[in-house]
Amino acid sequence: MRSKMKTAPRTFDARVDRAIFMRLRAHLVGRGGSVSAENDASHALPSDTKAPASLPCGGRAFREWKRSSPSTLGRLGRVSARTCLVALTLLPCALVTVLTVPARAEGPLLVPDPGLARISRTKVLRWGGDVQGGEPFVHENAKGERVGFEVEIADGIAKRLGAKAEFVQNDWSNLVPSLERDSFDVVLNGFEMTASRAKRVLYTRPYKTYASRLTVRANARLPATREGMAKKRIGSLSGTRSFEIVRESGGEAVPYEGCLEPYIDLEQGRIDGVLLDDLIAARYSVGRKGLVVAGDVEQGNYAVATKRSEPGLRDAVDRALAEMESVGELRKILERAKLWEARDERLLTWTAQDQARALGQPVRETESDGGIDGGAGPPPTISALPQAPEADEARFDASRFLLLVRAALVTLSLSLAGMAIAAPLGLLLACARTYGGKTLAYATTTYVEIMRGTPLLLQLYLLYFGLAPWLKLPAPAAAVLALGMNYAAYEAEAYRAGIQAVPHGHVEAGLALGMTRLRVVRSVVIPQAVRLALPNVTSDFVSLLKDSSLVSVITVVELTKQMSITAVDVRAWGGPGLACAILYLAMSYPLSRLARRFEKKAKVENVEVET
Amino acid sequence: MITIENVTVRDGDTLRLDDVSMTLEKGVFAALVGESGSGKSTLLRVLSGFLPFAKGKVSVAGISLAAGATPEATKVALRRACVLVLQDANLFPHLDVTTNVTLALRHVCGLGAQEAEARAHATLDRLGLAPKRTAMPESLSGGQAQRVALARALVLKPKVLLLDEPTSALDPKRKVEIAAIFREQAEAGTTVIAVTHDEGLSNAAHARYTMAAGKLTDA
Repeated sequence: MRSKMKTAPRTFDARVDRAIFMRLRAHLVGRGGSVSAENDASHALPSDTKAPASLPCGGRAFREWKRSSPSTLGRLGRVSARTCLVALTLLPCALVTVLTVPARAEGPLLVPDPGLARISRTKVLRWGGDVQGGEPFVHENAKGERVGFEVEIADGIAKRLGAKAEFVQNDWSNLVPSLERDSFDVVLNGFEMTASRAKRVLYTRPYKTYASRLTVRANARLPATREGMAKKRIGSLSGTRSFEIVRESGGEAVPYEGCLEPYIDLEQGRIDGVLLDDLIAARYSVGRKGLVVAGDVEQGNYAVATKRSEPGLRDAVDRALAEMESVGELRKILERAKLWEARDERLLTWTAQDQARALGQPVRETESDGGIDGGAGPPPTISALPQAPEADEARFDASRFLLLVRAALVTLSLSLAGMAIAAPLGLLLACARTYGGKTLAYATTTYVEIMRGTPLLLQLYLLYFGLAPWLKLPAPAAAVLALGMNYAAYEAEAYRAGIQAVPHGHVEAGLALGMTRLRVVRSVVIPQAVRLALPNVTSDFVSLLKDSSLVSVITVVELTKQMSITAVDVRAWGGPGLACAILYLAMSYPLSRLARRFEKKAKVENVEVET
Repeated sequence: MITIENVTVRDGDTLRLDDVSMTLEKGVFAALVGESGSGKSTLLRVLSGFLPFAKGKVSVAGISLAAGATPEATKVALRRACVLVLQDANLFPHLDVTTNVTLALRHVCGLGAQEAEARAHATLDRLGLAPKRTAMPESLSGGQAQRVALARALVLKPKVLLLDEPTSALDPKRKVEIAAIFREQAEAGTTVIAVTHDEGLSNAAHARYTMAAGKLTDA
């Protein structure tokens, strides 16, 4: 027993600062929980066991590590996921290379934990989250300050690490890749403990228990079971555990980016139910007419996650959480946020076995459950848990590529339908502006300026959510309509330029033959204007094809959205990103060629007209 | 058929037409000659309702025009009776030769597709354009385009035919042929006014008017 205890200090010395370890040892010895200590040693991380007995430690090791560390790659900066996406389509190949590097740079094993080293150097604990997740997690108050129970937890952890907590905003569904590229040190944002994620990150003990809650319309009578959700349209936040549950149960998972929108859509009857964490359901479904809780489908826990290459940081954060739990600080934080529930008591006696169960890992049956003292003493540590092997079963294979192809068809049909509205509406607007007299010209100019002067994203939101109380458009219809109406403004200008380019002599010639003005416009001007505008309209179609990716905000899963879903599934952006780029190019390149051909043809005709 | 009484057209301070009076009977082929800028084309544009005039009275094929703006309906009625052929061919580039010719036949005269096509082909053949029936305007030479423009007007069998330099792009042999066609047209009852610098054409006309500085100087 004693000798086993001795192996532990050496390994920790190598990676963690001594003070923390001493406190930990005092902790373990003090409560006499030798079982936990044994667990810690026997479940030691592979990296621990490889560490030689005579490792250099302290400041010198730090400085050496700093010189030799290859993992500073992530210091590239805190680039948002969206920027990442843009870069991805531009330089897919380069990015694939970049993305694969962090996976290989699995922490220098013979030096102190890079995460801890970084934090002790910068005195800052960067924690990643998404304020769009809103209350009660992290959100902004009226003064623009970040508030929420997780802010307090982050502060508590940072304080114990001798650092200052610093929030880093990041798109929720991309928290893991951003963590890996070192946009921040830890993920702390309603990040559920799941077996699949445990292959990608290291989890600390949980700080809050939640339940996946099914909310339905009162008249729906949908049972809160997986069977009940099968073949139903169930809304959830994309990338969450709840979203995964819907997919597992055979329901049609409708992805949302914010907490409020799914409940709006449920109220409007666009979806059959919403499966989201009870913390969210309690806040965002209230006050919506006719919505009732069907029940909870699954219970889970939120924990802090670190990079796989930084087990030392994970251990340190875990110990900080354990202390916050044992001194009652966590409970106070949760109580202040009115979130403390009886089930959270369980967190105070959290054991390594609980951790293993929460992450779907095998539990050693021979050992007794952790809380042997009946939860009386301070909580045991879970620091040296067996870790899941690297993710390898979720690959970007042919079937996933097929999903992308299917999504590309969605993109194509949305774009075609959008253009089928934009082209004729644009022509109508151009004619109204040119021939319709002052009032019509003014009205169409206003329309064109509004549509071109405001973001398509905003128009989508307004059309889908803003008009919902009066006009319940299904998501694909709203998407097509928004794309069509927005692009009509651009087409109107293209056609107007075409109309103006028709030589006045042609109009006079038509009139001189006795045709009415309307007939001349119909038979002489418009056919020519359409031909002249064709190159511009075609290249606008290419833009529309790309802009159609925006409609994912109103739950339509098109190519880009499918790519990000696939990327989260397979935990890599390179392959899906490259495939996505190729599919976009396969659709847009022929169109660009066509546009160029029209342009050449128009030029030839125009030269003939001029001479 | 055409009466012009004391017509004056101003363009700012410039007098484009200065107190012009003229009468033409039905079936007359008149040539209008004079230097460039003397007001010949301006007179044609007044007669076809493209240019309002400041003073005077005009009557063409029974339709009276007064000084000032002309209502759109009057203009349309006027142009059904009195067709102007512009100096530039201005063929519709998106339509083939036959369709260029049938367009007005169908939409102005209300002819059916087949009948319009038959008449168009007859007119094109008469102007030596039989091989070009299905050609696109971009493939025509300047002279061919000018003849298609003439065919577009002739096919409508207007009461009055106003021509602005109708033979400028034609070779000498064609000029003679076309002059003969205008004469034939006049003998069939159409009043023809041709603005021209072409001696041959003006010699073929029944009457010859000379203009200078917006005035009719010699009849």
